[in-house]
Amino acid sequence: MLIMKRREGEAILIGDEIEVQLIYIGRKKVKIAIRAPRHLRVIAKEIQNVRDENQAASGIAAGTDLATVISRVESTRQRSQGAPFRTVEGGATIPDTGPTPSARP
Amino acid sequence: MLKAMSTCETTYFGILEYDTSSIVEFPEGLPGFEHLRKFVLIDRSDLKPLAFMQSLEAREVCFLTVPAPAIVPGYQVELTEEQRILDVPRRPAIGSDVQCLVIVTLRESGPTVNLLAPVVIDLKTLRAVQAVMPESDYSYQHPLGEPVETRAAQMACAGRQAEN
Repeated sequence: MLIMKRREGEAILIGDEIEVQLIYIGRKKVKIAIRAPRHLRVIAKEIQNVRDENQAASGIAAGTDLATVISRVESTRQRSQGAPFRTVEGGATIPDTGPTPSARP
Repeated sequence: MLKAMSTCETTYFGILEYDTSSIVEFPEGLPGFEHLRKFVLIDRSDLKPLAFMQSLEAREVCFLTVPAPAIVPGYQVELTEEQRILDVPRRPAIGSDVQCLVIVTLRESGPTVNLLAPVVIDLKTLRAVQAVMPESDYSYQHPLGEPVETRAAQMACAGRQAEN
């Protein structure tokens, strides 16, 4: 990564179409103005991390070991002396012979 | 009162029958799935406290979730102005104002949970957002089963012990 130092009010140009300006330096946050063409998505980095993580989480993989997941949740709760919780009451019914999640198509 | 039931096709649960009044609606979708707005929560007694969040618009999109307080007692959500598209307090009470579910990712190295960006559901309306909280120091890939070491979690635990 390229490292630069800028004072409040100064700007950086990236290519021909992107400008980044440091508007305000605060004690804990800086305010940054960004001009970029519409086809480039400008988002906070942690949002991209969450997008990627959601993609990875969105299908239940083959051989899902739900028992392991449940036992780890239980041991976490016990270690932290348990916390009362409730799930939103499910609005869905699964047939009695409902399959446990199986392989992705 | 008669329930209005509907069905949808799902990859993992086949044809799913659900009560239309229990649809969880994300006005802005989820990061990476901005076009998907309607989900339904599926819980089974043998799998508690896990709940599946199945898309009604994409049969293959189904998230495994767990209530955040089950992982971090005293878990606190703080919503930004944009996230307050839900009509709830900035720091809503989990269990009464909102329910708070974290998404589980199943990886080869083991399951992880996204504590940084919980799904927050307004219990009055069942509208929801996935609230990314960069100000917290929670991880979006916290290994399930390991203690949560963040300062916020430790303060929350200390608060609970002081109450007891």
